[in-house]
Amino acid sequence: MIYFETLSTDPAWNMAVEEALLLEAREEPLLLLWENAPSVIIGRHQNVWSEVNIAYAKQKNIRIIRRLSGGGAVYHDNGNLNYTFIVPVENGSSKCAPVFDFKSLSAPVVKVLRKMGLNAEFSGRNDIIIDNRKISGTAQVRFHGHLLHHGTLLFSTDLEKMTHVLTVDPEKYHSKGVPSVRARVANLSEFLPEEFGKEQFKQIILDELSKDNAISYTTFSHELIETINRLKENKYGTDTWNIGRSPRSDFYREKRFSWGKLRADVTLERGKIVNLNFSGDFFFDEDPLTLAQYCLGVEYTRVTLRCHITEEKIKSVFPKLEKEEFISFLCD
Amino acid sequence: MMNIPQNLLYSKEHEWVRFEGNKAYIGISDYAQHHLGDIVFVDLPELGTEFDAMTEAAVVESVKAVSPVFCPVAGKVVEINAELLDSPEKVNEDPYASFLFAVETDGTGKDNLLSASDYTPLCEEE
Repeated sequence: MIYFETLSTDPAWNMAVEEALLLEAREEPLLLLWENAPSVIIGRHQNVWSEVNIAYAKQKNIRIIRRLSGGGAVYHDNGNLNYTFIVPVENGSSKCAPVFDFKSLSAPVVKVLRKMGLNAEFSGRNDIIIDNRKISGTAQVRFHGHLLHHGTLLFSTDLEKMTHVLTVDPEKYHSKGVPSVRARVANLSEFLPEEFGKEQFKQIILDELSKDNAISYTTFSHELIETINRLKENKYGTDTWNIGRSPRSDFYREKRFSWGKLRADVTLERGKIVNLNFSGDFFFDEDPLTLAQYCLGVEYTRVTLRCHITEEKIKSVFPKLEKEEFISFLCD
Repeated sequence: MMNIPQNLLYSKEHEWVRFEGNKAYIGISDYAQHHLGDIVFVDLPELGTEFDAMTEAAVVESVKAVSPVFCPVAGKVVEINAELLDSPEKVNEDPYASFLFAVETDGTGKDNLLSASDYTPLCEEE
């Protein structure tokens, strides 16, 4: 087994590392241990607006990145250790064997935890629990004849921030995306002696995993770094992937301005506005429908909306609404 | 026992293909849906997208994993099964009635597809 360090806590870089290694399609199994700066990592087919408290994320400088695997949203910070296994799929089929065995791929991790005296066990679809509290969630993706299995290990994560950033008013959004499943979580540090640090924990994980599999340490080749950079720049670092790839969703925005109450009902498909309707108790100059139509087909990201919509157009309908106010109203 | 209808062709990646004139309807086999488990999301290609034979055209997410669906024959997407966006579980319930998408094809790639009897051993070996 080959072991890599990702050399960064940038979540967009780390997601790009995973995909670049999958694309390389090596014969040998790979292991990564890595950490992210504060970020929410959402499942491949999740709706960002119904899973993430975007305003809070922005306020606390928490990044939002979409991953390649499925499942629910997770919060990462430097109190969370992530592991990734990438293994070739034996018979070449990307859909079936070796049957999706979360249990066997999580087994080495469970084994290490048990060896440390923790009452860890595999539970439900893809969690590792201690005393009925979730300390790890895992997910898989099949790609290019390889299987990627990755998981989180909550060590000393800020659980308050986690709860806050992953709490969204369920009434507000109606999405066709994959919803997250709530679980009672715990940090591993709760079960360990106080002096036991995360670096020590990481080293134990690595040592124990290399007992069963000879591990060679490798660094990224120049070529691989190029692929990672390209994926980071064109995919994991972009709103188009992270935000725009959300499945179709319907939601509304409502705000009281000094000049009246404004509500916008929005439908998004493939990250673009496909339906928009303004209503409220305001007086308008031009029919709001003209502004709504003007926004159709536009990518629902601040950057694109800012480029596309002119202040003049907004003011022709809502004379007292500033452009940035309008964009914040639609996007936050 | 897996259901493998005689009148369809199959890819080694467990897609089924039904030809109607120059149109090919594509879905995933009973074996594939069984191994994937409960499907929670289907990401379909956009109409008009062109694919080479055996390139990734759609994605299914099950409770176990995200997996690619390949387009077994070269062609341009002319139909998608939009019903699956609301009810992805239909792929589990009736995989052969639940096509994912259809392409207009000149038949490139058809020669590599398997008959039901040639496909059957693939579902046994694995």
